[in-house]
Amino acid sequence: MRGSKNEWKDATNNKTSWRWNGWWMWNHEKHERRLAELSEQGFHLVHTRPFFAKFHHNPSGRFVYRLDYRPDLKWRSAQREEYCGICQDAGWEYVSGGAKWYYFRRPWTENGTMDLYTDRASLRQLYRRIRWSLGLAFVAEIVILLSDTILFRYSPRDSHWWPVLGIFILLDLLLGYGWVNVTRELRRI
Amino acid sequence: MNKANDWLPLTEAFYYILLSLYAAPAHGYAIMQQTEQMSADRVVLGAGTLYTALNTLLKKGLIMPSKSPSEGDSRRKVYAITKMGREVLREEIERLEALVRNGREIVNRMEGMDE
Repeated sequence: MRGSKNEWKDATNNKTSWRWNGWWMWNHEKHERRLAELSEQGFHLVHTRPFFAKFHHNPSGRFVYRLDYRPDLKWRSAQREEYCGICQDAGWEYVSGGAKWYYFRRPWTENGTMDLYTDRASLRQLYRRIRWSLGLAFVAEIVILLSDTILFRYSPRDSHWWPVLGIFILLDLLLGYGWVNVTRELRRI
Repeated sequence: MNKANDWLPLTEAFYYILLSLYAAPAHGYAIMQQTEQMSADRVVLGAGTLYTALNTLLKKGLIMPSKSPSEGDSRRKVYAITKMGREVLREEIERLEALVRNGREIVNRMEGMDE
């Protein structure tokens, strides 16, 4: 798999560009569709960094992408290797990953693509993993906010208190919105 | 979940994984292929579904890691069904047989009345 990827990379003369790669954790399927659209236009994601991703330009290729969230797999562990191996056997090429998200791709076909998750039970588990992390971040935000308030003895009279509070409230609102969205999705599945 | 009965009904993924391992230990890819073959392409196990199901079955003691003599050095992990796994599978087959029997009885009786 790696060999073929490198050959393909050479054939494109390494025409690469970095693009914005931000997306909401509770809406990863939308991001998959966006990556497929970019690939249709000839821009294929090959490497991710926080908020940005490297794309190779090759108008002749076209891929579909799938994202998986696996906080249960430790980096460089036997489990991770086994999981990526199973995906590779099923035709998914591991592209990149970060923050426990895995990016896979396979060549686009007219007949559609078999998903990573093909039954309701395992799909629900994926959404529960995402929801659990969102919930954990939400609680952590509140704990940090409360401990900041106590540690720094903030009071409403402090001028720098309001921006801090504003940022925390905004983050918590976002996380809460995400949590509700994933819960809705879980009810739908 | 200590009793075989507590596992029922099995999801199709669990059912076909246990069925694939019933005769001999196998790795994930072989399980995928056997499932497609047995179900005549009706049941297809996606990679994420298969890995999640294997992990659950492993944790609950229905399958266990196994050493395969032919693929001892392979990167692919091989699984074998446990005694508990066999028991669960047999119970599920009995349950499914009862379902089909009941269904046929009613449907055939109604069809007889229609005629």
